[in-house]
Amino acid sequence: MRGRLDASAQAPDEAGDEGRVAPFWEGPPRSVGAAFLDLWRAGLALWSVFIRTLYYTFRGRREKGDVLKYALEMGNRSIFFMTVTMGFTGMLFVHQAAYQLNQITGDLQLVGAAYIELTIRDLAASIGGVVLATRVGAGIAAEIGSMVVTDQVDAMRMCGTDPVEYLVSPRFIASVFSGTAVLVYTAFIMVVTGMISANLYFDVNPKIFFNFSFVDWHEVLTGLVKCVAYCAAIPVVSSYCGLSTFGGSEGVGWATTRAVVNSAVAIILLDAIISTSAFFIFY
Amino acid sequence: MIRFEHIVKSFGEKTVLDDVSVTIRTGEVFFVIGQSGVGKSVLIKHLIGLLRPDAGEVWVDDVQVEKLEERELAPIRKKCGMVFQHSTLFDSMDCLDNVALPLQKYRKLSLQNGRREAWKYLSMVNMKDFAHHFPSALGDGLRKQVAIARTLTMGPEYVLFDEPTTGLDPMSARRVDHLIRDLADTTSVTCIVVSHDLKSIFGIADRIMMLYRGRIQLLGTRDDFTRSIDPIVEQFISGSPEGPIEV
Repeated sequence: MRGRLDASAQAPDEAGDEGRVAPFWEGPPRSVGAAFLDLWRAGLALWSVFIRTLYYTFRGRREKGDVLKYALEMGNRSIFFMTVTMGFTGMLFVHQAAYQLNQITGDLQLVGAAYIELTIRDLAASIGGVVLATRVGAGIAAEIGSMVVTDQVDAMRMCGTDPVEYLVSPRFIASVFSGTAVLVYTAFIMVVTGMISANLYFDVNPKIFFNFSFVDWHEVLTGLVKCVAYCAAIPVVSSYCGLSTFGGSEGVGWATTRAVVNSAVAIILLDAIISTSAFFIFY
Repeated sequence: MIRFEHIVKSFGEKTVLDDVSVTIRTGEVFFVIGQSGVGKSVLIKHLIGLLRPDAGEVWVDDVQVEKLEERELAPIRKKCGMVFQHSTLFDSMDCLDNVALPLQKYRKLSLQNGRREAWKYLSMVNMKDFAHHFPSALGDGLRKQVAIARTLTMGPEYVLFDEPTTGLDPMSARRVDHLIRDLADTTSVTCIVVSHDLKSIFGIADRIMMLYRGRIQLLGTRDDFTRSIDPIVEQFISGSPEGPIEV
């Protein structure tokens, strides 16, 4: 081991391997293999955080008021941001859909029905989830990452406490409840702003727009399952990114970026899994 | 006794520790010194399983630490307390509860009994008067003393101090030095101290190890260091900006 490390630390001419042609497996296959191994290890570590979070959700002890504090932070303080971003997103969606439909058929009778079904089943949860992750996920990763680089997380471990118990599980519970509530509210906002857009630009009567005939109980159930799944994934993925922070403030920056990116990827993967499962179960 | 055997540790491309082997004797005050980023804290974190070596072995008494799973590390962490550089008290608890926390976790005491016991440890470090203060209301030196009290609650045989005097005013720094020396003299606890503070080093160390570029540059007593003619050791001790040490 030592010899190998020494050789790799030396410059090529010092190592005496000038002119040596590296075997092909030391090139791209090795890099790809290492990347897969890293991904596998990260996946295992993330899975471990998730399982421990579930365990401590039911069996762990929490500081009094922690869940409420985080629920207010993630829910109430996200409402303005979510209203603005998802409100405009709803308007844009309906504007684009109605514009295309107008050009093709000229009949906008069912634009509201189709949009409401899509919003309840998927759009509010998936787009809202990604938007929520940018705020909530970044905050969680930054907070935990700062604790890691100032040794507070190590101090917890030294006191015999699993950081997941005190740092992740309260955020997980808070996110599942308040995040889901925010996403349900988002669906409402998207429908309302969509109606405003349809009425303002295409003269669609609100009574015609608010057509829930396409919405079945399983559409609502699928949408709700997505909301809960995404709101469970965001704190787990973001906390994992925070807990794996290394280095100083630069490391916290990277953890924050990874939290947002990985949460978005998790949401898209969960969307694919839940949508496919719902299709096979209900259709 | 603590033994590091051929420890190698890298972070990405950077090899921080490169074949470090050292034995730390029971009851001594052992200093690890060197430039910032040379791997001093990294080395001591291996002892309690907060980091794992890429190669080599870490022994605490007769237990090989790097082979233990996270849940098996609890007895080692009880045996080796650590006082972190930033004190790392929990801001949501007052000093008494901070000290009582490990008593509840490790000794399974109730909150009331834990608090009662915590008073004793706060008096040991002369912090009884600050028991109900929150950490944010205390200066760095006082926070460090509370952190030491918290570490002592576990009844450690080894205490690891990560830059205990960094950022402290000279009086607080010397107070912490005395606490460390007293701890070793009165309770035979082995103290392993990571530091740059030359006053601390030459005031209380039994033995000193200097790390440079991931390897041991010199290991010896205070006299060995003052007599050393190694230009790297000389430059570090004199604090001169000119010399062979690469920044």
